Amino acid sequence: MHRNGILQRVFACLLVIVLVVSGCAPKAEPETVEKEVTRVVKETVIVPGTPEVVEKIVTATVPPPPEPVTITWTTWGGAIQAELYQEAIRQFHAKQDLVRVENINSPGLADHLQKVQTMVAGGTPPDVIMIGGETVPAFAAEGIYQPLDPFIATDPNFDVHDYLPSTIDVMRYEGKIWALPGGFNIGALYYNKALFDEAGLDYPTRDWDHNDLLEAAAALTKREDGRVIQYGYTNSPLNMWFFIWQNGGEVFDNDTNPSVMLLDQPAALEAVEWYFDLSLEHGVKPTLVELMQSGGQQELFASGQLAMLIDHRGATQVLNQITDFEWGISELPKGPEGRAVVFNWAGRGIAAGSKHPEAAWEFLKWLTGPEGVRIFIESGNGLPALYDLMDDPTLGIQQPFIDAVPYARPFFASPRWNDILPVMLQYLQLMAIGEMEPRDAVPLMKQEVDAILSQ
Amino acid sequence: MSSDGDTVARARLFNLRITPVGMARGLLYLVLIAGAALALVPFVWMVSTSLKRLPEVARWPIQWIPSDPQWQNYATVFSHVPFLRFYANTAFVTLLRTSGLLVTSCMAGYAFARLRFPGRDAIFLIYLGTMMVPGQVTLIPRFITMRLLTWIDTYQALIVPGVFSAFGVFLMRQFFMGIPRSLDDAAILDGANHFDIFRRVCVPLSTPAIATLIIFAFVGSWNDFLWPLVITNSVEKLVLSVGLSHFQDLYYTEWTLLMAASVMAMAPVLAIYVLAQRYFVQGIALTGIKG
Amino acid sequence: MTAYGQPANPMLRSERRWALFFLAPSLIGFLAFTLLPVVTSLGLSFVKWNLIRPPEFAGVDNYVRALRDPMFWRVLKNTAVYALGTVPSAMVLSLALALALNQKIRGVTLFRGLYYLPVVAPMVAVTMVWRWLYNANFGVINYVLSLVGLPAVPWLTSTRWALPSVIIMSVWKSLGSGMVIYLAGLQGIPQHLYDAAAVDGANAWQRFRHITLPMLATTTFFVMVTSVISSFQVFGQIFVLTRGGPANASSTMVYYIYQNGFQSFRMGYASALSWLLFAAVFVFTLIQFGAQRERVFYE
Repeated sequence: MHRNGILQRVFACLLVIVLVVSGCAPKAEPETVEKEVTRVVKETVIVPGTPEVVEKIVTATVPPPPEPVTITWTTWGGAIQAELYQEAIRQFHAKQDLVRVENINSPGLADHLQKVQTMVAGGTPPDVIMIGGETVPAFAAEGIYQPLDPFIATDPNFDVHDYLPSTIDVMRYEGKIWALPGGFNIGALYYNKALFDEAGLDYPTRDWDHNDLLEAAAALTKREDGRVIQYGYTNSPLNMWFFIWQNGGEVFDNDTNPSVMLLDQPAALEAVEWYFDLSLEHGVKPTLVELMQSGGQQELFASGQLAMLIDHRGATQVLNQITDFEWGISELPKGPEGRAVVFNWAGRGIAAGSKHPEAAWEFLKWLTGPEGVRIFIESGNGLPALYDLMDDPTLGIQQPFIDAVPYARPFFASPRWNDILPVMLQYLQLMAIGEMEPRDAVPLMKQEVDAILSQ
Repeated sequence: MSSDGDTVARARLFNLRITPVGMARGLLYLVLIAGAALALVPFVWMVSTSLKRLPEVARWPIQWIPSDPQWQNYATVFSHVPFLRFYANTAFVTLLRTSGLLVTSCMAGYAFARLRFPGRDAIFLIYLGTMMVPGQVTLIPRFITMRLLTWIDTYQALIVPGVFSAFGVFLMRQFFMGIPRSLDDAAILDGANHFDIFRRVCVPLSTPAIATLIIFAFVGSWNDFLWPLVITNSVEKLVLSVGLSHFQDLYYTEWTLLMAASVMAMAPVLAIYVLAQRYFVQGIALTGIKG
Repeated sequence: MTAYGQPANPMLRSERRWALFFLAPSLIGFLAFTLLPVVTSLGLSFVKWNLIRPPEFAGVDNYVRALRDPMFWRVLKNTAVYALGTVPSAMVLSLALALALNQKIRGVTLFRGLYYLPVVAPMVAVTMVWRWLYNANFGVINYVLSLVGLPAVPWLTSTRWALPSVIIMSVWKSLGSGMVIYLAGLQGIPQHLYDAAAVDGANAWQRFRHITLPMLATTTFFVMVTSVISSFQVFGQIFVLTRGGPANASSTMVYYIYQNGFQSFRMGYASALSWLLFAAVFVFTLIQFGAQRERVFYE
């Protein structure tokens, strides 16, 4: 194969060319030229001695407008989200000239975390970093974020009281505020009207309790040849905790600064057992694997094989594509000890190593202000953290979500989230597949989690 | 042949090596077809999903043939993301990476296989050793290297590090070692130096190995995800692997579009593979008589 | 070094200069882009670093911590089991496949293409299909088992079967790669050896054992070493199929390293874990390397 010799030489040349070109590629340096611009300025002059005010036209040299500062903003999300981020940037640029924003978007949250940390460790931190709310305390504790209190204190145009207090509290660590919220998510109950009609059941209302939920789920679960072809109920994993709270139990002693786990107390333990029995004993709830197989709980609902789903407002992005049946939203059922719903959130903060913190603050302020937040809420991304927007009917927020806001609470916020969660997941998974009983698993979980929290 | 006939056939029925006798061949075909069907299943699922509407994706039992094929999903991919740009980027990067990798691996493989020099085996073990450290912990040092070269968010950052591969060197070394030295000696008698041996003896006789290397390099570069994710910032430089993951959005995955895009993304890799595997044709007899 | 004769041509005595010429292209880039980061990560294993604050020297603390970490031993065990489960079976099966598809049978190109499809199919699609296959209630695998009277296996929903589930899927996915390498290796076996053996009356098994296998030795060594290395570094399949679950039953070293490095701000610890992994694989490879130098057949 004599051809190979020539091919090899061609490749070798290509290689050399690539290396040379890349090494010598000139870096485009922005030119900073001091220019003075001559402008025509109208000056209002009070002519002395007369009551007249005259406008005089004067030519004066004024210093050039300051060069805009460019900052980077890291985010995550797919194609739809990326477009929203670009829209936000467009609107922000239209409003002012001083700050230019570049968005760096990663597909998934895990990818985003890895990328942000690589950039930070590699010496090129982004300026504004968006991160999942549970990671905010860790970013604060590890020094990746810088505290926002100096900006909040000195900026007359910003009032931290415009935000729902709970959304700010989860951004605190050691008394300082490290990030600002844009929106947050809470759960509501989606239900398939066609399946309810078929079974002759009344639609869910906020007056249901846990048992009503279970009964309806049982009636709506269908089997054929011993396997389930339709499930009555499921919830997104994060939304399991409201069952515990509504039963009078607690997961931790303090949501925003946990020091000990309380899941082993009777009320909490009872709720945990009840929750896992939904799958294990009553068979009305699919297992995690079965959900993953369908692509997710929203896809399962959309295919008409799931009657009820507790999920957050973002689920409407999938559900709005359903054409085969009608569906409704209801507030969550209440529990023996009252109402609660889990809220989760994302934080936007300024990196400690940012070279343009003031510019970053200007953008951050706008992004988490009414104009910025509106862009995201309108497309279905949860609820706004701002009082003003919450009452705005043009945003299209469904009523069950708004009604639930008063009793929303975070799962927990702690700098040790990333160590605690894997431990919890381990035992939760064992309970979910029935390999361990809650009364055995929960105490062990508590032991390990308490140990982590006390470090 | 048929004269051996039945006794041979029976004797060889349960051997690994298959003879041109009907029954054993039939069994072989059966097994191969069953295995191929199993190999085909995910691809069929991909195509099937790409033609559905999103609410239909989760329905199980799985509907293999969609009732209402949405051929337009393939077109929607292009309007949803800059798919052509991803394609062009990936093709450009992969082509250069593969070519460069061929050159460096063949030459270094020859050195390790045929030349004697102090520290040869130690250096080779170091090459091998670097393959044993997971990329997760070398990610940040590699990133810092790129930053020092001011190559962040550039094409050269995507191409150049991928040109140097211990895997490629290892592969070519093994194959060069399998070429009989007698051919070298014959060439030496003709007055050849090492580069001539390399060019006229080793490389031509290693076309299967080179074809293999092309396949691995191409696939590795085409599907590389973590490095492009970390090293590129601007949308213009996105490659297919990272670009396609944007179909997995914040709240849900656009399964149908993702599968349509993935089917289209797989096509060049398969094409290269089919082209390259033609070199796996038995009969490159090592009688040393070559052109 | 027994396989290398003494070069006769004086020009070849300047082998060192030739070595420099041949090695240079690879070596320069290798040093800068591969070796340097690797050595840096070794340095990182002796510090505590959360990626933003300056690293603090920690001596061998990270290593001591690893040896005392029950999770480390668990994922190491899972990784070893995974390697043991995938490497031998994948090698045998892909060799068998290569042998079968080295024949002049009809549709060989099609078959070769089909068997390579799993290698290039995106992990997302592969795992979706395998979850369906593994479904405890009515997945195909359990259905086939029921036909022969075996009980249904809770593949992905039990701590006992999670790792085997990943192993089976991984072997299936990697068959095409091994097949390609073996096919390449088979091309290098001279036909005249087989012809001579046939004349001597050797049967198929004997030809396989005394010609094919020995002539494939360099290829087999390559496949074995690279399979061991990549199986010890398994990450993608775990991440997408089981996320290391249930309850860390299928969690492996690199997954644990990733969690420590990028989720828990412990890059120093993650580096130490990586180097412990390296040590295990390196020792294993060294053994293979030593063994093959005596056994590889050269003409």
